Amino acid sequence: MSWTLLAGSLAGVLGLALVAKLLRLGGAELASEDEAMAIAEAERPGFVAVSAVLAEDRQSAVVTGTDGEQVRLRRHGAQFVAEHA
Amino acid sequence: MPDLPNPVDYAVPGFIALVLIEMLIARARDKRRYCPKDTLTSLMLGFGSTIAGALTAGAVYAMAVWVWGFRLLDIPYAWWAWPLCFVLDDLAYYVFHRSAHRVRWFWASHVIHHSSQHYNLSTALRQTWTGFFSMAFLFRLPLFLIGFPPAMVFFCAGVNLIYQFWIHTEVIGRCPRWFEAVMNTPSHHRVHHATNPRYLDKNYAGVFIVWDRMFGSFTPELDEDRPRYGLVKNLGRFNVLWAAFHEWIGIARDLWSAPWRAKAGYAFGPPGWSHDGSRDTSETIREKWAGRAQPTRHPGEGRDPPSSCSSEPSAVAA
Repeated sequence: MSWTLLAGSLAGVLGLALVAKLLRLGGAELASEDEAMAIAEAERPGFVAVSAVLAEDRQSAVVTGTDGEQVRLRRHGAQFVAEHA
Repeated sequence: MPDLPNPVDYAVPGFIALVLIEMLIARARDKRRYCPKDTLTSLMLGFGSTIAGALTAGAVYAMAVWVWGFRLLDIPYAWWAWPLCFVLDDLAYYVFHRSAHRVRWFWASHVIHHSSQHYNLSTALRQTWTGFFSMAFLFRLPLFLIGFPPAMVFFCAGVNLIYQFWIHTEVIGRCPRWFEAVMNTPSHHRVHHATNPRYLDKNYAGVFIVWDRMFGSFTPELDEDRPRYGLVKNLGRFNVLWAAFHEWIGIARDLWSAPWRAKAGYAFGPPGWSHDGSRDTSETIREKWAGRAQPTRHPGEGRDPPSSCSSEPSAVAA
Protein backbone atom coordinates (compact mmCIF):
# COMPACT_ATOMS: atom_id res chain seq x y z
CA MET A 1 0.00 0.00 0.00
CA SER A 2 1.33 3.40 -0.98
CA TRP A 3 1.00 6.67 0.92
CA THR A 4 -0.76 8.12 -2.11
CA LEU A 5 -3.43 5.42 -1.98
CA LEU A 6 -3.78 5.90 1.77
CA ALA A 7 -4.19 9.66 1.44
CA GLY A 8 -6.60 9.23 -1.46
CA SER A 9 -8.70 6.74 0.50
CA LEU A 10 -8.89 9.08 3.50
CA ALA A 11 -9.87 11.98 1.24
CA GLY A 12 -12.55 9.72 -0.32
CA VAL A 13 -13.87 8.76 3.14
CA LEU A 14 -14.17 12.33 4.34
CA GLY A 15 -15.48 13.54 0.99
CA LEU A 16 -18.28 10.96 0.88
CA ALA A 17 -19.34 11.71 4.46
CA LEU A 18 -19.44 15.41 3.54
CA VAL A 19 -21.54 14.68 0.45
CA ALA A 20 -23.99 12.66 2.57
CA LYS A 21 -24.35 15.67 4.86
CA LEU A 22 -24.70 18.14 2.00
CA LEU A 23 -27.40 15.98 0.43
CA ARG A 24 -29.21 16.12 3.79
CA LEU A 25 -29.48 12.36 3.93
CA GLY A 26 -30.68 10.65 7.08
CA GLY A 27 -33.14 11.92 9.65
CA ALA A 28 -35.97 9.88 11.05
CA GLU A 29 -39.13 10.20 13.05
CA LEU A 30 -41.68 7.76 14.33
CA ALA A 31 -44.77 7.96 12.15
CA SER A 32 -47.18 6.47 14.66
CA GLU A 33 -47.61 4.46 17.86
CA ASP A 34 -47.98 1.39 15.66
CA GLU A 35 -44.57 1.94 14.11
CA ALA A 36 -43.01 2.39 17.55
CA MET A 37 -44.55 -0.88 18.74
CA ALA A 38 -43.42 -2.69 15.60
CA ILE A 39 -39.84 -1.48 16.05
CA ALA A 40 -39.83 -2.47 19.73
CA GLU A 41 -41.08 -5.96 18.86
CA ALA A 42 -38.50 -6.30 16.12
CA GLU A 43 -35.64 -5.14 18.33
CA ARG A 44 -36.54 -7.25 21.37
CA PRO A 45 -36.98 -10.99 20.83
CA GLY A 46 -40.15 -12.19 22.53
CA PHE A 47 -41.40 -8.69 23.36
CA VAL A 48 -45.11 -8.18 22.61
CA ALA A 49 -46.10 -4.52 22.58
CA VAL A 50 -49.51 -3.35 23.78
CA SER A 51 -49.14 0.42 23.80
CA ALA A 52 -46.73 3.22 22.98
CA VAL A 53 -46.30 6.84 23.89
CA LEU A 54 -44.46 9.02 21.40
CA ALA A 55 -42.34 12.01 22.35
CA GLU A 56 -43.59 15.33 20.99
CA ASP A 57 -40.75 15.53 18.46
CA ARG A 58 -41.33 11.86 17.45
CA GLN A 59 -37.65 11.12 18.00
CA SER A 60 -38.27 8.69 20.84
CA ALA A 61 -41.01 6.61 22.43
CA VAL A 62 -41.76 4.41 25.39
CA VAL A 63 -43.40 1.12 24.48
CA THR A 64 -45.13 -1.08 27.04
CA GLY A 65 -45.36 -4.84 26.64
CA THR A 66 -47.88 -7.45 27.76
CA ASP A 67 -46.01 -8.17 30.98
CA GLY A 68 -45.64 -4.48 31.85
CA GLU A 69 -42.03 -4.35 30.63
CA GLN A 70 -41.15 -1.02 29.09
CA VAL A 71 -38.81 -0.44 26.17
CA ARG A 72 -37.49 2.97 25.27
CA LEU A 73 -36.88 3.76 21.62
CA ARG A 74 -34.53 6.51 20.66
CA ARG A 75 -33.38 7.79 17.32
CA HIS A 76 -29.90 6.70 16.30
CA GLY A 77 -28.98 8.36 13.05
CA ALA A 78 -31.68 7.43 10.57
CA GLN A 79 -32.79 4.40 12.58
CA PHE A 80 -34.07 3.61 16.07
CA VAL A 81 -32.58 1.54 18.85
CA ALA A 82 -34.43 -0.09 21.73
CA GLU A 83 -33.28 0.09 25.34
CA HIS A 84 -34.77 -0.93 28.67
CA ALA A 85 -36.80 1.99 29.98
CA MET B 1 6.53 -16.28 -8.60
CA PRO B 2 4.79 -13.41 -10.45
CA ASP B 3 4.18 -10.18 -8.60
CA LEU B 4 0.43 -9.75 -9.00
CA PRO B 5 -1.27 -6.46 -8.05
CA ASN B 6 -3.92 -6.19 -5.36
CA PRO B 7 -7.11 -5.76 -7.42
CA VAL B 8 -8.86 -4.02 -4.52
CA ASP B 9 -6.48 -1.05 -4.84
CA TYR B 10 -7.70 -0.49 -8.39
CA ALA B 11 -11.35 -0.84 -7.36
CA VAL B 12 -11.29 1.97 -4.77
CA PRO B 13 -12.23 4.78 -7.22
CA GLY B 14 -15.10 2.61 -8.46
CA PHE B 15 -16.28 2.04 -4.87
CA ILE B 16 -16.33 5.79 -4.24
CA ALA B 17 -18.18 6.54 -7.48
CA LEU B 18 -20.85 3.90 -6.81
CA VAL B 19 -21.42 5.08 -3.22
CA LEU B 20 -21.88 8.58 -4.61
CA ILE B 21 -24.43 7.38 -7.15
CA GLU B 22 -26.30 5.41 -4.48
CA MET B 23 -26.42 8.51 -2.28
CA LEU B 24 -28.03 10.48 -5.10
CA ILE B 25 -30.59 7.72 -5.56
CA ALA B 26 -31.26 7.74 -1.81
CA ARG B 27 -31.85 11.48 -1.94
CA ALA B 28 -34.43 10.98 -4.65
CA ARG B 29 -36.17 7.92 -3.18
CA ASP B 30 -35.65 7.58 0.57
CA LYS B 31 -33.24 9.77 2.52
CA ARG B 32 -33.22 7.31 5.41
CA ARG B 33 -31.16 4.83 3.41
CA TYR B 34 -28.08 6.84 4.30
CA CYS B 35 -27.07 8.65 7.45
CA PRO B 36 -23.93 10.85 7.35
CA LYS B 37 -22.66 9.65 10.76
CA ASP B 38 -23.26 6.02 9.88
CA THR B 39 -21.52 6.49 6.53
CA LEU B 40 -18.51 8.12 8.16
CA THR B 41 -18.33 5.29 10.71
CA SER B 42 -18.50 2.64 7.98
CA LEU B 43 -15.89 4.33 5.84
CA MET B 44 -13.51 4.96 8.75
CA LEU B 45 -13.82 1.29 9.71
CA GLY B 46 -12.99 0.41 6.11
CA PHE B 47 -10.04 2.77 6.16
CA GLY B 48 -8.76 1.28 9.42
CA SER B 49 -9.22 -2.20 8.03
CA THR B 50 -7.03 -1.33 5.06
CA ILE B 51 -4.27 -0.17 7.41
CA ALA B 52 -4.63 -3.24 9.65
CA GLY B 53 -4.50 -5.45 6.55
CA ALA B 54 -1.38 -3.72 5.24
CA LEU B 55 0.37 -4.09 8.61
CA THR B 56 -0.27 -7.83 8.77
CA ALA B 57 -0.08 -8.69 5.06
CA GLY B 58 3.59 -9.61 5.25
CA ALA B 59 3.05 -12.13 8.04
CA VAL B 60 0.04 -13.68 6.28
CA TYR B 61 1.94 -13.94 3.01
CA ALA B 62 4.98 -15.49 4.73
CA MET B 63 2.73 -18.05 6.39
CA ALA B 64 1.06 -18.84 3.07
CA VAL B 65 4.42 -19.38 1.39
CA TRP B 66 5.56 -21.58 4.27
CA VAL B 67 2.45 -23.80 4.02
CA TRP B 68 2.79 -23.84 0.22
CA GLY B 69 6.21 -25.42 0.76
CA PHE B 70 4.36 -28.56 1.89
CA ARG B 71 2.03 -28.56 -1.16
CA LEU B 72 0.57 -31.79 -2.48
CA LEU B 73 0.48 -30.64 -6.13
CA ASP B 74 2.40 -28.21 -8.30
CA ILE B 75 -0.36 -26.05 -9.74
CA PRO B 76 0.94 -23.76 -12.50
CA TYR B 77 -0.26 -20.31 -13.56
CA ALA B 78 -2.32 -21.99 -16.30
CA TRP B 79 -5.67 -20.79 -17.68
CA TRP B 80 -7.58 -23.60 -15.95
CA ALA B 81 -6.00 -22.99 -12.56
CA TRP B 82 -7.49 -19.48 -12.18
CA PRO B 83 -11.21 -20.38 -12.24
CA LEU B 84 -10.50 -23.46 -10.15
CA CYS B 85 -8.67 -21.35 -7.60
CA PHE B 86 -11.47 -18.76 -7.61
CA VAL B 87 -14.18 -21.35 -6.98
CA LEU B 88 -12.25 -23.16 -4.23
CA ASP B 89 -11.30 -19.85 -2.62
CA ASP B 90 -15.00 -18.97 -2.58
CA LEU B 91 -15.73 -22.29 -0.88
CA ALA B 92 -13.04 -21.49 1.71
CA TYR B 93 -14.72 -18.10 2.15
CA TYR B 94 -18.06 -19.82 2.76
CA VAL B 95 -16.53 -22.01 5.49
CA PHE B 96 -14.82 -18.99 7.06
CA HIS B 97 -17.97 -16.89 6.89
CA ARG B 98 -20.16 -19.58 8.40
CA SER B 99 -17.65 -19.97 11.24
CA ALA B 100 -17.57 -16.19 11.62
CA HIS B 101 -21.26 -16.33 12.53
CA ARG B 102 -21.26 -19.53 14.56
CA VAL B 103 -18.08 -19.19 16.64
CA ARG B 104 -17.87 -16.15 18.91
CA TRP B 105 -14.08 -15.85 18.50
CA PHE B 106 -14.44 -15.26 14.77
CA TRP B 107 -17.68 -13.32 15.24
CA ALA B 108 -15.82 -10.83 17.44
CA SER B 109 -13.82 -9.88 14.38
CA HIS B 110 -16.60 -10.11 11.81
CA VAL B 111 -19.30 -8.32 13.85
CA ILE B 112 -17.96 -4.97 12.63
CA HIS B 113 -19.31 -5.69 9.19
CA HIS B 114 -22.82 -6.22 10.57
CA SER B 115 -22.85 -3.36 13.04
CA SER B 116 -24.62 -0.81 10.84
CA GLN B 117 -28.40 -0.57 10.93
CA HIS B 118 -28.20 0.56 7.32
CA TYR B 119 -27.69 -1.55 4.25
CA ASN B 120 -25.99 0.40 1.53
CA LEU B 121 -22.73 0.34 -0.38
CA SER B 122 -20.89 2.08 2.45
CA THR B 123 -21.81 -0.88 4.67
CA ALA B 124 -19.75 -3.10 2.36
CA LEU B 125 -16.66 -1.13 3.32
CA ARG B 126 -17.28 -1.58 7.08
CA GLN B 127 -14.58 -4.21 7.50
CA THR B 128 -12.73 -5.82 10.36
CA TRP B 129 -9.61 -4.52 12.07
CA THR B 130 -8.89 -7.74 13.90
CA GLY B 131 -8.97 -10.37 11.18
CA PHE B 132 -5.33 -11.31 11.70
CA PHE B 133 -5.73 -11.53 15.47
CA SER B 134 -8.77 -13.79 15.08
CA MET B 135 -6.67 -16.03 12.79
CA ALA B 136 -9.19 -15.88 9.96
CA PHE B 137 -6.33 -16.64 7.55
CA LEU B 138 -6.42 -20.28 8.73
CA PHE B 139 -9.39 -20.93 6.44
CA ARG B 140 -7.35 -20.27 3.32
CA LEU B 141 -4.39 -22.46 4.26
CA PRO B 142 -5.82 -25.64 2.64
CA LEU B 143 -5.59 -23.92 -0.75
CA PHE B 144 -1.84 -23.46 -0.34
CA LEU B 145 -1.51 -27.02 0.91
CA ILE B 146 -3.29 -28.27 -2.22
CA GLY B 147 -0.74 -26.36 -4.27
CA PHE B 148 -2.30 -23.08 -5.44
CA PRO B 149 0.41 -20.39 -5.47
CA PRO B 150 -0.15 -17.78 -2.73
CA ALA B 151 -0.12 -14.88 -5.23
CA MET B 152 -2.87 -16.55 -7.25
CA VAL B 153 -5.00 -17.20 -4.15
CA PHE B 154 -4.67 -13.65 -2.85
CA PHE B 155 -5.52 -12.23 -6.27
CA CYS B 156 -8.67 -14.38 -6.42
CA ALA B 157 -9.54 -13.33 -2.85
CA GLY B 158 -9.26 -9.69 -3.93
CA VAL B 159 -11.61 -10.24 -6.87
CA ASN B 160 -13.99 -12.05 -4.51
CA LEU B 161 -14.01 -9.03 -2.19
CA ILE B 162 -14.67 -6.66 -5.10
CA TYR B 163 -17.62 -8.81 -6.22
CA GLN B 164 -19.13 -8.61 -2.75
CA PHE B 165 -19.19 -4.81 -2.83
CA TRP B 166 -22.13 -4.31 -5.21
CA ILE B 167 -24.46 -6.71 -3.39
CA HIS B 168 -24.67 -4.38 -0.38
CA THR B 169 -27.56 -2.33 -1.67
CA GLU B 170 -31.30 -1.91 -1.45
CA VAL B 171 -31.37 -0.12 -4.79
CA ILE B 172 -31.36 -3.38 -6.72
CA GLY B 173 -34.29 -5.69 -6.10
CA ARG B 174 -33.98 -9.09 -7.68
CA CYS B 175 -31.86 -10.16 -10.61
CA PRO B 176 -32.83 -12.61 -13.37
CA ARG B 177 -33.84 -16.03 -12.09
CA TRP B 178 -30.78 -17.85 -13.48
CA PHE B 179 -28.48 -15.32 -11.84
CA GLU B 180 -30.22 -15.56 -8.45
CA ALA B 181 -29.93 -19.34 -8.67
CA VAL B 182 -26.15 -19.39 -8.95
CA MET B 183 -24.72 -16.10 -7.78
CA ASN B 184 -24.85 -14.17 -4.55
CA THR B 185 -27.03 -11.13 -5.17
CA PRO B 186 -28.29 -8.06 -3.29
CA SER B 187 -31.47 -9.96 -2.41
CA HIS B 188 -29.60 -12.97 -0.99
CA HIS B 189 -27.17 -10.81 0.91
CA ARG B 190 -29.89 -8.57 2.38
CA VAL B 191 -31.13 -11.75 4.03
CA HIS B 192 -27.66 -12.39 5.40
CA HIS B 193 -27.49 -8.92 6.98
CA ALA B 194 -31.01 -9.07 8.38
CA THR B 195 -31.88 -9.57 12.04
CA ASN B 196 -35.40 -10.87 11.35
CA PRO B 197 -35.51 -14.23 13.16
CA ARG B 198 -36.22 -16.20 9.97
CA TYR B 199 -33.12 -14.72 8.31
CA LEU B 200 -30.58 -15.11 11.15
CA ASP B 201 -27.44 -17.06 10.20
CA LYS B 202 -28.41 -17.63 6.58
CA ASN B 203 -26.84 -17.00 3.16
CA TYR B 204 -23.14 -17.05 4.02
CA ALA B 205 -22.00 -17.08 0.39
CA GLY B 206 -19.34 -14.78 -0.99
CA VAL B 207 -19.78 -15.04 -4.76
CA PHE B 208 -21.65 -18.29 -5.43
CA ILE B 209 -24.91 -18.82 -3.55
CA VAL B 210 -24.75 -22.49 -4.54
CA TRP B 211 -22.71 -23.21 -1.37
CA ASP B 212 -25.67 -22.18 0.79
CA ARG B 213 -28.02 -24.27 -1.30
CA MET B 214 -25.66 -27.27 -1.02
CA PHE B 215 -25.03 -26.98 2.71
CA GLY B 216 -28.56 -26.08 3.83
CA SER B 217 -28.04 -22.47 4.88
CA PHE B 218 -30.02 -20.78 2.10
CA THR B 219 -33.16 -18.74 2.71
CA PRO B 220 -34.82 -16.52 0.12
CA GLU B 221 -35.83 -12.94 0.79
CA LEU B 222 -39.59 -12.67 1.28
CA ASP B 223 -41.52 -9.59 0.25
CA GLU B 224 -43.78 -9.98 3.31
CA ASP B 225 -40.83 -9.97 5.74
CA ARG B 226 -38.61 -7.09 4.71
CA PRO B 227 -35.13 -7.28 6.19
CA ARG B 228 -34.17 -5.15 9.17
CA TYR B 229 -30.45 -4.65 9.45
CA GLY B 230 -27.85 -4.50 12.17
CA LEU B 231 -27.22 -6.63 15.22
CA VAL B 232 -29.60 -8.46 17.50
CA LYS B 233 -28.42 -5.90 20.08
CA ASN B 234 -27.54 -2.78 18.16
CA LEU B 235 -24.61 -0.67 19.26
CA GLY B 236 -26.59 2.57 19.48
CA ARG B 237 -23.56 4.79 18.95
CA PHE B 238 -21.28 5.91 16.15
CA ASN B 239 -17.99 5.13 17.85
CA VAL B 240 -15.43 3.61 15.51
CA LEU B 241 -13.30 2.08 18.27
CA TRP B 242 -16.30 0.60 20.05
CA ALA B 243 -17.57 -0.89 16.80
CA ALA B 244 -14.15 -2.42 16.14
CA PHE B 245 -13.52 -3.90 19.57
CA HIS B 246 -16.79 -4.23 21.53
CA GLU B 247 -17.19 -7.98 21.08
CA TRP B 248 -13.58 -8.64 22.05
CA ILE B 249 -14.19 -6.60 25.19
CA GLY B 250 -17.33 -8.67 25.78
CA ILE B 251 -15.34 -11.90 25.46
CA ALA B 252 -12.68 -10.62 27.86
CA ARG B 253 -15.31 -9.65 30.44
CA ASP B 254 -17.05 -13.01 30.13
CA LEU B 255 -13.79 -14.96 30.38
CA TRP B 256 -12.97 -13.02 33.52
CA SER B 257 -16.28 -13.59 35.27
CA ALA B 258 -17.40 -17.01 33.97
CA PRO B 259 -16.89 -20.22 35.93
CA TRP B 260 -13.89 -22.26 34.70
CA ARG B 261 -15.97 -24.94 33.04
CA ALA B 262 -17.80 -22.30 30.98
CA LYS B 263 -14.89 -20.15 29.82
CA ALA B 264 -14.30 -21.99 26.53
CA GLY B 265 -17.99 -21.67 25.68
CA TYR B 266 -17.82 -17.88 25.95
CA ALA B 267 -14.89 -17.74 23.53
CA PHE B 268 -15.70 -20.52 21.08
CA GLY B 269 -19.42 -21.18 21.50
CA PRO B 270 -21.98 -19.51 19.25
CA PRO B 271 -22.55 -15.77 19.74
CA GLY B 272 -25.06 -15.25 22.57
CA TRP B 273 -24.18 -18.52 24.28
CA SER B 274 -24.18 -18.39 28.09
CA HIS B 275 -23.63 -21.10 30.67
CA ASP B 276 -26.88 -20.26 32.48
CA GLY B 277 -29.00 -19.74 29.37
CA SER B 278 -29.63 -16.11 30.25
CA ARG B 279 -28.76 -14.76 26.80
CA ASP B 280 -30.23 -15.18 23.36
CA THR B 281 -28.60 -17.10 20.54
CA SER B 282 -29.93 -17.24 16.99
CA GLU B 283 -31.67 -20.49 17.91
CA THR B 284 -33.47 -19.12 20.99
CA ILE B 285 -34.51 -16.00 19.08
CA ARG B 286 -35.97 -18.16 16.33
CA GLU B 287 -37.73 -20.34 18.92
CA LYS B 288 -39.29 -17.31 20.60
CA TRP B 289 -40.37 -15.97 17.23
CA ALA B 290 -41.84 -19.29 16.14
CA GLY B 291 -43.57 -19.75 19.49
CA ARG B 292 -45.57 -16.54 19.42
CA ALA B 293 -48.31 -15.30 17.18
CA GLN B 294 -46.84 -13.70 14.09
CA PRO B 295 -46.72 -9.92 14.43
CA THR B 296 -49.15 -7.93 12.40
CA ARG B 297 -46.93 -4.88 12.42
CA HIS B 298 -43.85 -4.45 10.29
CA PRO B 299 -41.36 -1.64 10.86
CA GLY B 300 -40.83 0.56 7.84
CA GLU B 301 -44.14 -0.29 6.22
CA GLY B 302 -44.97 2.16 3.50
CA ARG B 303 -41.36 2.90 2.61
CA ASP B 304 -40.15 2.38 -0.94
CA PRO B 305 -39.27 -1.25 -1.68
CA PRO B 306 -36.08 -1.95 -3.61
CA SER B 307 -36.50 -1.77 -7.34
CA SER B 308 -35.82 -4.73 -9.56
CA CYS B 309 -32.77 -5.08 -11.78
CA SER B 310 -34.79 -7.25 -14.11
CA SER B 311 -38.05 -6.59 -15.91
CA GLU B 312 -39.59 -9.34 -13.83
CA PRO B 313 -39.82 -8.16 -10.23
CA SER B 314 -41.27 -11.39 -8.92
CA ALA B 315 -38.52 -13.59 -10.36
CA VAL B 316 -37.45 -14.99 -7.01
CA ALA B 317 -35.09 -17.91 -6.96
CA ALA B 318 -36.38 -20.17 -4.20
